[in-house]
Amino acid sequence: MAGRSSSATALRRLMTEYKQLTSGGSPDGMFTAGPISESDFFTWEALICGPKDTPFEGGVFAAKLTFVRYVITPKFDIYHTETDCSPPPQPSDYPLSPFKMKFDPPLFHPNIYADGNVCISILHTPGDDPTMYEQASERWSPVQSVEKVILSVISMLAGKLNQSTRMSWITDHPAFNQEPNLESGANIDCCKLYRDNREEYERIVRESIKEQLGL
Amino acid sequence: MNTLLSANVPDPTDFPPLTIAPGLRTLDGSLRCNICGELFDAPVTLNCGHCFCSFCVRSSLAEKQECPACRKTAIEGHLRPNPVMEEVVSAWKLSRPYILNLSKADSEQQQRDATPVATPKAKKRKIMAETGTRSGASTSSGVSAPRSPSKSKRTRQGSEVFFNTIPTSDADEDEMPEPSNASANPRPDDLVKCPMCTRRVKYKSINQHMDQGCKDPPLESTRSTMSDWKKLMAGPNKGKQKDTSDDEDNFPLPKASYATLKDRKLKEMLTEHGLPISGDRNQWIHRHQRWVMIYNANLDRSSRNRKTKQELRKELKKWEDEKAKKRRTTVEDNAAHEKRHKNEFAQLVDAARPRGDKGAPKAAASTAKWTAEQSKNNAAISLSGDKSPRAAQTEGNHCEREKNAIVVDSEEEREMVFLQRT
Ligand SMILES: [Zn+2]
Ligand SMILES: [Zn+2]
Ligand SMILES: [Zn+2]
Repeated sequence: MAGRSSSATALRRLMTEYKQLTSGGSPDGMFTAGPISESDFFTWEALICGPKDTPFEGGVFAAKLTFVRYVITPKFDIYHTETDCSPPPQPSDYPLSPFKMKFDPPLFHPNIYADGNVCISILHTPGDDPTMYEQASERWSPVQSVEKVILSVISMLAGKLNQSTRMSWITDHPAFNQEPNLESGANIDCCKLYRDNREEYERIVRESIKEQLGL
Repeated sequence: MNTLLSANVPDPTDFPPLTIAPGLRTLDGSLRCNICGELFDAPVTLNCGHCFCSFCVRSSLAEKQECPACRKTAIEGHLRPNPVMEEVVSAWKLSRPYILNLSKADSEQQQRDATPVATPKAKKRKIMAETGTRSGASTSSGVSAPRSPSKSKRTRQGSEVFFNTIPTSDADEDEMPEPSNASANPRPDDLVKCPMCTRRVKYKSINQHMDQGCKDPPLESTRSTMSDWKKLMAGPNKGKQKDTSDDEDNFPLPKASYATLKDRKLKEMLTEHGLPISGDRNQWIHRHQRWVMIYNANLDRSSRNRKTKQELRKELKKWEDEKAKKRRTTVEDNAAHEKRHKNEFAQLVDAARPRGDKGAPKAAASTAKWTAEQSKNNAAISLSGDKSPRAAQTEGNHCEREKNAIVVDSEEEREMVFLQRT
């Protein structure tokens, strides 16, 4: 691949991933993902089905994936600031760097910011550790992919399931065994609720899904 | 969207699934680098045994010193070229289109055998409808384009066989001949007519021939034993005779600790490799860093696959041009962003086009003279000027290509035909 510039490489890899997702489909048909428009292959939309046997069951959640590189300065930590004031994007060097994922509308989850941005270790490069609690083994590496990240996010939504209900696609990789990170979660109120009153948390999630479905 | 999809970056799903063709997808997949998703280019192995393109893994190690796959600690010093894998990949590139054709013909035959006559037609129509939706441009795919009825009958001689090996429309379903898959495809040594220059070329070398813009002598009848001999006499590093100075440079460049280097030394290091000293110190450093990476990755190719320094310089320039162009881009509002993106996107797609060693027009080296002007970053010009002669020809020839549905079906050959039309 040495003959290509980094964003041409990014484009080609994204095209490959898109093609594979389209022809292979996702495990259990749990999500779809692809570029939003033909003119911009660096912005994708994913539609994710709420995993079974979780409060998210029945919902369909849209998320935007952005494949541009944000230069992180000490003032601008994209993971822990509201995102509308992000610095200007640089050409994507995906897959060397991860992409960004934002639920729109936002989801109520300990590791999702109020603005919908997802905070998950697989989307963090080994260099930056916004939470200080992440294992290096769960971080981004260039062999990760859109598919792996989304599966990881689904697993995050599901929380740690007991063995009997674990879905077939969950591998032993640590990234696919996400327990919400409550130590320094993205949504502090949600973290508290999740820890102290799980039933209430689940009720709120179910309510929001009913609302979304117009029930 | 589907025009993009059918523009077709080759990948394992080109082959039928496990149930129909066991192992083929896996085979194709395991010859690909997990970083860039393409067939290994200058494959290297780490201590842990994982294999990547030399350049890909060097870029990755620059970010984090670990194997991208298993995260074992790794440094550039661990990298070992994997010439056997390189050989396997070259052979696979050569045989891939052939096997693809065979497997397609075979799986369609299986479908026909397994189902009543009417069903496969319906199925196929559905597939074609799918690939044509949204953009409404099924013909631009070059893959699903229907053939005209007159072309549809399979003839058994010369070039016609070549173009008609893959049934692409259901119109002529009933005229399809008996299984006879293998015999329908030309053998590697069969002569086929080149769709570009119409000269006769060996099937096995048609891709290469077209890559070189039809400039190589057609392999008509006599084998060019003379040139074979010349190659042998030229010694082990005969690969690039025109750049003989490369012969001595078989050692990887050391990494520099730029912080301690004086400007003068830095400039020396650039000029030493024929690189420009335009821009500021920061640019010099980036330029040199990138050069070291490109240069060392090139050494991980076996000598006959190595690129010349001139080619490497062109790669470096391309990278810088694009970086410069992108740096100026900031996203203010979505509409403007989208608008601008459309052009850039087309260029990017062009840049992303499969480009083998032979893809770049080597003759154009004189135009690639790289001076201080490059900082004015006319990236757009350089990108379009960089099109291989084949791409230019394709524009004139695309009608013919559509008629023929699939001209050549290899890694290098899959043109992003839609580019010329969007
Ligand atoms: Zn690679
Ligand atoms: Zn490894
Ligand atoms: Zn030709």
